[in-house]
Amino acid sequence: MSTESKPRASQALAKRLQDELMALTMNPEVGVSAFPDGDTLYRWVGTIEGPINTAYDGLTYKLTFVFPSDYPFKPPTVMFRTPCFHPNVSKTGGICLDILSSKWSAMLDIRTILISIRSLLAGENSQLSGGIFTLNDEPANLESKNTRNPITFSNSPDPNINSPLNTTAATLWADQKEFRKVLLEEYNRDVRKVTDGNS
Amino acid sequence: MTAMDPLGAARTWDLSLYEMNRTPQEVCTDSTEIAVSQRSLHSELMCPICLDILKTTMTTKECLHRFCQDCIITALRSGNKECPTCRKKLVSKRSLRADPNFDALIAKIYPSRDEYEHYQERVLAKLNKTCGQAFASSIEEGLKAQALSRKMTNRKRPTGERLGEGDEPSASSQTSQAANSPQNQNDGSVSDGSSRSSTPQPPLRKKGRAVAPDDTDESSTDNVVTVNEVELVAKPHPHEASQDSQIRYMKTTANATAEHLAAYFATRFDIDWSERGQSSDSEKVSYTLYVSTGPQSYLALPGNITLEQINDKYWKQNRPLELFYVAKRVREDDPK
Repeated sequence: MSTESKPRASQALAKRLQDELMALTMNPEVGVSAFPDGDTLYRWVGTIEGPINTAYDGLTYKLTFVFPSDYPFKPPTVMFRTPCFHPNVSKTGGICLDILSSKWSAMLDIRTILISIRSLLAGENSQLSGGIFTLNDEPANLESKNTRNPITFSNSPDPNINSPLNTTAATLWADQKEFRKVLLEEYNRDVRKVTDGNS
Repeated sequence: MTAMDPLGAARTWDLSLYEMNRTPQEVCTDSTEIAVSQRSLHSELMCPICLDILKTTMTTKECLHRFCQDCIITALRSGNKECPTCRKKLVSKRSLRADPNFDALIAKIYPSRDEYEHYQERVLAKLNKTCGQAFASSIEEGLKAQALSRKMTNRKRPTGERLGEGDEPSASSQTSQAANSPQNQNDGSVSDGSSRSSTPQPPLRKKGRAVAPDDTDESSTDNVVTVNEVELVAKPHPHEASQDSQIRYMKTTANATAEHLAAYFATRFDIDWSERGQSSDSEKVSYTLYVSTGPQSYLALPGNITLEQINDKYWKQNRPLELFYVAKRVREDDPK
């Protein structure tokens, strides 16, 4: 049984990822896209276009997905590859998003992850996205009132300003105009660095 | 059931926009049959975890969401103790119940499910062998898109032109054709892969390539029935002197018959001749096809034999089928 279950599991994983790829190709999502990286199915590259009418309008971000062998029971590791100036994104590209850790559900997929991250950039309220995408908690914060209540109608902005990964971004967040200015500076510098590094 | 619950507690009971606006359906009391596409059913019969058809369905007792037994048990063991679909608390396996009725329903809709799974496994294994998985699925997409565009172009084209024109010649054969056959400038528009140069050019495509069928609406690989295509080289019969010495390369479906080909030649060559100003209206040309059965021996083919049969019976080689044609000029008034 155990000798058989191993290829079974990897086959189920491959099937699920293939189905997700098929769904994303046939029925693309506005503002986000994803495709396997190279010829393996277990690493993907995702792209997020900054939501319009937000500070991120017009900017494009690339992300990497690495899928563990027990996906979808465990979340993929998602990182920003393009440096992203945001209260909940670290300098190394790490993302603080509850659905990618404690609030992961096997029903979430690449599409919903990308939508969630995009709405994290937008600062939209989570319950607009159907209730399941709660956006703002770290494990340390789990007991606070915002956390495990996907159907809350609270007006708190989505980024978790209280325990940010990027304190500069968190401080600037309140003034979106100023935030946009710094964001663009950072983006232009970083994107140039990335392209220079590649050439 | 109202959309606005004053307590705000039952958010999952809110009606969607579709539900609020849809018109009621008449109850079917007669023998009316309603066809439901497999795809629309698929979302209902699918496990949201493995994205496959539910296997040993388990239903959550409180929120009534369905999952495969294996999937939901693994999910509960490895993650939060909540419903993957709606995050309702699921204490343990006891918050689930088996749903044999649903299994029976699926068995009714997919009676040969094991067969289907085996087939899928085989296809998957085959794809994995030949190329990387991601690549394979993108090829699959490509095939579908091709089949779709083929369908569109075939629709636009008059039926007489269908034969042999399903595939455009590769660019290299076209350029070389233009380069070494100057007498040929006036019909640069001909695109059936024919070559008028005396040196035969090998066809550039591989033989027997699988082609997705026309019914592209079906979503999965298991529905891709392969239709074989046959590549063939048509040469003038060496024993018959003919003013036409063209060697033609073409490709068509394996179920085309010798008669089809002869008819195609008649139309096609006629067009070519009239472009060159060599045809007269009073003349019709009929074509007979031969296959070589040995050195210096040629056999006339009966009209109803298909290319596949010719391949199997006479040709038996893994390279494009060679056929020989003889043109007979028949006067229009001639009772043929």
